[in-house]
Formats: sequence, structure tokens, C-alpha cells
Amino acid sequence: MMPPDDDRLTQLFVRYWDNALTRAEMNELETLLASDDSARELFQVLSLQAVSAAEHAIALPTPNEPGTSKEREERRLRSRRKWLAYVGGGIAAGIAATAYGWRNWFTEPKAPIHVTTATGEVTIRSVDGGVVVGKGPVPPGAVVATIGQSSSALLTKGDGTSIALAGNSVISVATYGDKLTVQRGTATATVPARTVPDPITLATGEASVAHLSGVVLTICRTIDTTEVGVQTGRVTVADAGGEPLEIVHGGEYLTVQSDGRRRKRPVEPTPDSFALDLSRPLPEGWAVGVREDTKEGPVLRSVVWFDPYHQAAMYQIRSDHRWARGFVRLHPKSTFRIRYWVDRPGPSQLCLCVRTENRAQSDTGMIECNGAFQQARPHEWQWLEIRAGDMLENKHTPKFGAPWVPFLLIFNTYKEDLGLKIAEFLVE
Amino acid sequence: MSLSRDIVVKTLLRNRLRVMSVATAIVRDVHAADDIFQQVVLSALESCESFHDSGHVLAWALRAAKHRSLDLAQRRRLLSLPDEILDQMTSEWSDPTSMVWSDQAEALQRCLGRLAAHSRNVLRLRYADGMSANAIASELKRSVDAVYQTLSRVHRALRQCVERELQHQGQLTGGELT
Repeated sequence: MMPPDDDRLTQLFVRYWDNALTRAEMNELETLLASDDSARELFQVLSLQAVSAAEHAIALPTPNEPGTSKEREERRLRSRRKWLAYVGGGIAAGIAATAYGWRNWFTEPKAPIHVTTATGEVTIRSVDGGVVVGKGPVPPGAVVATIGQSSSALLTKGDGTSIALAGNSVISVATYGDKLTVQRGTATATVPARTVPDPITLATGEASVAHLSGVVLTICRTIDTTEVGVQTGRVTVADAGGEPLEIVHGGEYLTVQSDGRRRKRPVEPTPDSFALDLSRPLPEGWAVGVREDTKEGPVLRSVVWFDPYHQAAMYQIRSDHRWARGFVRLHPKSTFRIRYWVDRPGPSQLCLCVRTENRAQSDTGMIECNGAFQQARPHEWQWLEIRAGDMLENKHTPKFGAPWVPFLLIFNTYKEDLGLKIAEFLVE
Repeated sequence: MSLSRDIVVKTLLRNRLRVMSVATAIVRDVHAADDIFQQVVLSALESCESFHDSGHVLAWALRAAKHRSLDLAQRRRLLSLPDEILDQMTSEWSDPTSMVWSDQAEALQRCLGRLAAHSRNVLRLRYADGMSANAIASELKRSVDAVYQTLSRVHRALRQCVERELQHQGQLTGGELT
């Protein structure tokens, strides 16, 4: 039996969903719900329809077969298990299954995403704790990690969308298997043009993008900053809560910080030389290290922080993450000139995480000067000079040729506070 | 007497659609509602000793989902229904006799499977892809009002289909819906 206001309530519901009701309409909805039991029941039904419609988009419909009530109940249970395997509720079921050995709630989940190419060390950790090394299906709730800067992985969906994961990156596949969260590192998504946008959502703790079609975009996540760079097409970037922030077009990139600050800029060509300007505050998103004014002028000093790669507290300087524009184009003869001070010499390194010239490619590697300040004179300003071509002997050396484009600069003195200060950093 | 963790989890999984529907009604985002459900499960597992029966678990879960959803709705600057209405609905939704959820859900799945492709597409864009009516209108090159009308019509057709299904369980009429 339908109450007379059903149609009106449904009309209000679909506009309420968009937060598009006028104040008067909201009052009307409130009055209906406050005064009419059947209106509240209908509201409940409409909400259930929304949930079911979303899940139906992924799961198969329940077979419509005759049978006894016992058979129907058994089918219902099978259906529920299959359902849980397909949809995000499976994650919650997975939590329960993991914690309490309740594994028979699951059939093997269907994985819409696969790691089809794995270079270096790549792991797929499923929600029940199982780990696959290398290629394989990525079930809902799984986490894919590329370990080491020279590792990379290509995740593909059956519909042609691919996500290239750069080195030292972690991405998790969450709700419904079509929401991917970049926990750390860099992911480049290539989504072919299509009539209906790909239902995939790419997210970080600060930003998300969805409804993708005909785009190539890169999402980089560092400690508290997300950079969304678009090579082709355009995307609407929303905050973590789904509130739209900016439309980013091809050739632009947007940085979003965890405190909500954001900035959209065009991607400028990567220069052939670089000088760190310490006369001004450090760039937004600078990760580790502090700028200080001293009688010798401004300097950059290392500070202790917890390095997730080494899983230890270390004294470091770490730049902002500049995937889209990069710091500088390096060739073998490019020379680093660094004026520095240490209170005492010790184990130390200068590291640059580099990508190829094409920012849509996920290949990355490391250029390192190990023992950078091992032979330094204490309590004295001095210069370190080294060519990029002499920094290639390390286990994560780039597997691609020059030019190499650094997107992250690191000074590391490990667990020792050497009192490192940098006054000038030049690359020519 | 406290409940075992197995019972708590079973209760929550059995009532997943209820909890998600409460959250969905407030945050209007099925993916966020699923996240909220998962948070509620985790939270419930930490509070097992305080539950005395499965009805208590369900009522607690619906309230927890409501609070978390309201927080999210506020962060997203969504207009929310007054607390007293939400309380009333949450209380009614926790009543095991208020609606036969599993039958409703299964009937709904059958009806969704019989929707015309264009109607199913609109629902998918709306609820699975989370698109606003504006975005759908732009995608489908239709007016926003036309999208609202379509959505209203599809919801109505689904409701009528489910009512028929429940009235004639096992004797399905078949055929394509709107």
C-alpha cells in the first residue's frame, strides 16, 4: 500500500541526495518524515535502494530460481558469501575472518585488478595476511608495494585502465575493489577515453579523483602532501571527504596539503640547472630539515625524523616531492656543488630519487653519493663537488638513460647527528 | 553477560545493509557508508564485553553509524535532517520487525537485474560512481530536471517491483522494468 505522498517524497529524496533542496523543500521533507510513519519507511526503502543499486553495479544479481524455502535459504547464504566477496563489506568480513579464523565466509574474491608487470621487488599483501611476490591478482583490501626506488609495478584492469606504480610506493585497493588509495609514493593512471567514465577512484589522505575518462594523471603522496599532475585530459580533484577542490587540466598540477592548503600551477619545463634559494622560506611541502638564519647567512640544517624506508629515526634533510616539474635535468656531466658544514665527519649520503624525462612513466631510480661527508673537515665551511655520472654505482641505480629528473633530494647522516648544515646547493 | 566476538561480527554482517542504509541516508555516499560500516565493525569488536544481546549490538551499531555519518556530513557541509527525526528513524530501523531486510534486499537485486539498461546506467552513475544529477546530466547530455525525473521514476518502479516480488514470492512475473 503506497501512501499518497510517495512520489513527492521520492522527488525530495533524489534532490536531498545532491544536497540540492531549498530551505523550504528541506522543511517539507522534515515535516513529512516527522509526521508520517510510512514516509520514514519509504525513506528507509529509498536508502536501501541506493545501497543495493551501487552494489548491483559490481555484483551479479541473485539468481531467480524456484525451490523450497530451505533451498532458498541455502542460496541466500551462498549469495551472501559471494556478495561479501565482491563488495566492500568483504573488508569488514575479512577483518573478522582474519581475527577469528572465520575463513569460510569467503569464497575466493574476484580480482578486477592485476599486477601484470613487476620490476624489482613487488609484493601483494592480501587482507588475510598472505603475501604474493611479483605478478598476480589484487583482491579487494590488498596492498601492493614496490620496495626500493628501482622497483616498479603495472596494475591493470580488464577494461584497459592501467596504474603504474613507481619505486618505494604503496597502494591499497579498498572499497569494492575500484577505489585505490596511494599510501605513499607515485602512481600514474592511464584511463582510455570512454562513454561512461571509469568507476575507479584514486585517492590519498588529502585528495581524490574519480569519474576518469581519457586521462593520464600522476598522484604523488609524501608525508602530508599530495600532488596531482595531469598530462592528458582533465580531472576534478576533491578533498579526502569528496568535496570538490579544483579542476586540473592537462599540463597542470595541484598540490594539496593535509591542512587543506592547495595550489594549482602549470607544469613548467624542467630546467637544466638548479640552485636552492635559502634567502626565502623553504618551499611548501618541504619534508624534513629546517632553515635557519645565521651570521654566515641562511642555512638548511638536518633534523631527526623517522625514515619509513629504513624504519629508523635518522638525521636528514628531505625536500618537497616534485614529481610533475622535477628539480633539474641531469646528464652524466651535470655537477653538484654543495657548500656545507659538519661538526664532525661520519657516515652520510646525498641521494636523489630520479624519474625519466617523461613524467607519465613510472620508472624511477636513485643517484647517490655515499660517504658524502665521511672525509669532511669538522667545523669548517667547505664544498662538495661531484658529477651525476659518478653517482650511479648503487643498487637502485636508474635502469634508464639520461636525462634523469630528480623529484626528491635527501641528505642523510643516518642515526648520527653530524651537525650538517647546507649553505648552498647548486646543480649545473 | 557479554557476547562473543563471533556473535557480534555475525550480527553486524547480518545487518550490514541496515547499518549502511542509515549511513547512506545521512552522508549520501555509498562508498563512505561502507567505510563507516567497517569502522563500526572495528569499534564493536573493541566493545564486545559491553553488549548483552544481538539486539543491543544492532541498536548500538545504528547509533554509532548515525554519529559517524553526521560527523562526515558536517565535514562535507551537507544539510542534515534534524536529530530527532534521525533518532526516530534509527530506532525504527533497529526494530527487527520493521522490514524484512534480507527479503527486501534479495527482491531488490532481482528487480535491479530486470531494469532497462539506461535506467541501470543512471543508477550506477548516481550511486556506484557517486555522480551528482548535474554531472549525470552533463554526461548523458540531458537536463538536470530530466535526470531527477528519471531517478524518481526508477526508484518508484523499483519499489513497485519489490512490492510485487514480496507479494508473489517464487512467482516472478519477469519482463523488463522502466
